[in-house]
Amino acid sequence: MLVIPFWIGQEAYAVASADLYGVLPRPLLRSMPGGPAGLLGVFNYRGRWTPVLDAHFLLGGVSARPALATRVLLCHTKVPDVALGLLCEKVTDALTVDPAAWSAPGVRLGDAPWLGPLQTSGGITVQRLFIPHLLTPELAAALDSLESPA
Amino acid sequence: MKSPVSRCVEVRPVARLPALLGSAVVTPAWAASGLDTPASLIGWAVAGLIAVGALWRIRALTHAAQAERRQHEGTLRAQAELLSALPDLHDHAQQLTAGIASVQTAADIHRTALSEVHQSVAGAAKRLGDLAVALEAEAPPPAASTDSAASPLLDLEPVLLALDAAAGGLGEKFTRLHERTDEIAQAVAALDKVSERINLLSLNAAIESEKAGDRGHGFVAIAQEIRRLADHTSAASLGIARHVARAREVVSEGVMSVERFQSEVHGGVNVVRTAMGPTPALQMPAGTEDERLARALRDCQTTAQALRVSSRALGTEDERAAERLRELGRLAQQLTSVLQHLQVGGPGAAP
Repeated sequence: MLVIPFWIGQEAYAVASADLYGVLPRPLLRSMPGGPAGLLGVFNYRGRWTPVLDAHFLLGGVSARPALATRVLLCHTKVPDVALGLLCEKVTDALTVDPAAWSAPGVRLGDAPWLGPLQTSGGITVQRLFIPHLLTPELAAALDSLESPA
Repeated sequence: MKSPVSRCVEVRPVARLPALLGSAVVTPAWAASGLDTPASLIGWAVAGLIAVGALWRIRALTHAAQAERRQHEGTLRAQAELLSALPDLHDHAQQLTAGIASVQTAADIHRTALSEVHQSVAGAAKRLGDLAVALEAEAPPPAASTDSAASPLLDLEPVLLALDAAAGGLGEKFTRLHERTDEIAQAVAALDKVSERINLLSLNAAIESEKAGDRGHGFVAIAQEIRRLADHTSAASLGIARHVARAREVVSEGVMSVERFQSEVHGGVNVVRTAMGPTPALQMPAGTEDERLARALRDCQTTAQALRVSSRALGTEDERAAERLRELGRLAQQLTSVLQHLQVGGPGAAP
């Protein structure tokens, strides 16, 4: 199983490659004034306005720093052919992990259902992220409106 | 799962209804069986349920077939994306190789300029040393008159003027060195962008390879290797960038030292000219010129020493950068070799 890790401070998170369309350099974003916290803006991806969320803001409360390795993970959503961008820092590698080696952290995280199981691979402890769960009701409602044709 | 027909055969002893769904068959069989109506209705209900089950099964099979087709299409799309990424990867590998060559060229020119600076600094320091020795040997005793000191001072002026000219040349050389350092920095920045682009391409290639299933697994390993090389290239170019940044600081310090050196040499020349002037004794007490000259020369020597230190530091940074450059060259070769292998074998043929 291939996962794409990214880093928030000293901690690594990962999104399964099966949940991704691909990785993009940070695009030029059209800001959405009045949008929910964590929504950086939208950009045109293959003819469709695609929202981009700041993973650092959603997970760590601070914005991702601009750098060459700060990239957008283009994730699948519940809606077919509708993508969601997640801006993450230090997206430079892909890890092959054992799908059977994921294990629950042993802590019930009712407020953070997006945080999935953990596993240590190559000396790095990564936590799997479930993208659909990352969307708070407020964010999900905002994205629904973005997904509808203008 | 059993077929609808086989289910009907199982039902037959219970309902005594022919296990066929068509009424043309059911009607004569029902008439011949002599069963009462409720039993026949139960039989029909069972047959209906079986039919629904069969339809449900057909629907599931259709969905599975569609999913399989979609997966196959996804695999084909992933393979097509991989193949379309290959020329890009080659292109970027070539750009990387060209970038490394341009950094190497800039570094060679830098080295030549640095060698000139070394020579100039060494020459200036030697002249200053000689001058100090000569001054010490020919200096008049403290009680001697200023007339007797005119002879060494007369010799001093051309030497100081030559030093002044040398300092001017040194300034130009440091400026050129600064420009060359900037060229290296630009080339390294371009290199860094290319290696980042290669990293991104290989990441996407790995994602597509995973989607391509078994046929793409070989490419995952290749993409990992490409990414490793691109990362090492990035790390090496970052190392060079650090050395270049340090070299820039040293060059800036060198430029300032040269300016100070020039000003001190000018001061020395002025001291000599003042001492040789028509009424030096009226302007200052006897022995003051010697002290000022000695001080000016000491300052010059200190600055020349600082210049030598800067020059040596530059040499060290240059050697380290050269080492990183050799590493970059090796990485570029490896990357080209991996990509050539990929071009020959294709992603499916990769190990």
